Amino acid sequence: MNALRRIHAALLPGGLVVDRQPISPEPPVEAADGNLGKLDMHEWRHTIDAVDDRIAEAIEHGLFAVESEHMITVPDEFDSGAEFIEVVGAWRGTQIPPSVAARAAVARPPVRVRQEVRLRILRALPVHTPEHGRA
Amino acid sequence: MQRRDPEGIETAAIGRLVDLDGRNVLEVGCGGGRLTTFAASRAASVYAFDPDAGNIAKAAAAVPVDVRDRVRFAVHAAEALDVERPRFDLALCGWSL
Repeated sequence: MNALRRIHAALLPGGLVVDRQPISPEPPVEAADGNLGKLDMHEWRHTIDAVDDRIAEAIEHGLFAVESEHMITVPDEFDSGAEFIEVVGAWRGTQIPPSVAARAAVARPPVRVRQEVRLRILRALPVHTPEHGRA
Repeated sequence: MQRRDPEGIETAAIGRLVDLDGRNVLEVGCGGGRLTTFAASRAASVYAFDPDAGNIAKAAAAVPVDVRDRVRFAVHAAEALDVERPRFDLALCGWSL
């Protein structure tokens, strides 16, 4: 909530926030030769739920209003299964199921993860709090 | 090599939803500069910050010379954002906050 107050204080009245969050708990993984399975991003999804709670609180406090919400699918592409395992294995709140890792290790590249991303446009409302101005 | 969003789906969607042209943009948690060049190529100015100094070094290295003077980078968390007065038209946030 404090971060959102700071962002609100930095925006001109009526300014916009573009909030982008990957929200799928099980994004699919594909290779050139077929589907490899799904990632386990349930732990990450808990992080997004916590972010959503903070944004809902900021809206309740009259800092922002939701203007619109949109869904897009954003791919991450890797030149090899080994690279996919190394990079995605380090993503916060993300597990590569052993079956997916085994298939990725021998898959024909490129390997792709397709994440559903929610774009929300928030408008900063002209409320005046003690933090408005120099925070 | 990892290519995030090689077709530019995310930037195209943002470009359709908000007008960055000539705006003063705040990029919250800019990471390795995923959106910094996109924003800088349209905006009047970009203030991009991230708590990870390594990310900022990557983001700074990725910004093309022709838009480099529009971008100011800083290392800090969102909770430490401190501006003298409201001055940004638009904030780009995401992939947590």
